[in-house]
Amino acid sequence: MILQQLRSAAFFVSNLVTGSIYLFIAWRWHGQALFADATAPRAWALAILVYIPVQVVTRLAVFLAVLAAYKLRGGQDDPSLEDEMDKAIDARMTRVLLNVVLLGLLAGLGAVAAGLPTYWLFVGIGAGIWLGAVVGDALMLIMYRRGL
Amino acid sequence: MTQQALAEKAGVTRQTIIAVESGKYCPSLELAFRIAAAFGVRVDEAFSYGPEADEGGES
Repeated sequence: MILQQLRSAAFFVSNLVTGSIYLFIAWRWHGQALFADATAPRAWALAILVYIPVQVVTRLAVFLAVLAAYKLRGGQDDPSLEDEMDKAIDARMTRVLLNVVLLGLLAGLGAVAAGLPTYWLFVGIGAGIWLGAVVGDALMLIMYRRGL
Repeated sequence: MTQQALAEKAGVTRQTIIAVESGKYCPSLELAFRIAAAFGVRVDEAFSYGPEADEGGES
């Protein structure tokens, strides 16, 4: 498998795993504060703000692990090289990711507007960020395998 | 010439060469020129456009 495909597949799996583990940790960390109207904004804001650097660091660690495994197996692709196809795929992935995040925000706003508790707004934002990354990486893998 | 050697000559990843070869990615004009130059031929000798290219028959 080509390095880019390996990286996309690893990111996809790591997003699923990290998101699930982090959701559990956030729930243990904040508990019922996530669901009470008075405390939900701060608890969710903290949970979401911490999740973003966690995701970035995890992706970096996963990339380094994938690269090490790839090189150990004799792979020759240059990991620092980014060409026009990578940029085109990245641009499409970013567009989809931002649309999913926006959709999550709108779904959260819609839920609150419909009378659901405030925490649904943050559920929408958090789900959008997580799902955006998962969908983006899946799309990236598909584009590397099937082309643009 | 191997895909790796062509990728290095054209300054792109092997993934891109594989995608161009199989008709899954349409290269920019600049990359097309670089690939043709790597083979020492003109662009119109390295690439074709038409029904055969649409079916994945690009060189």
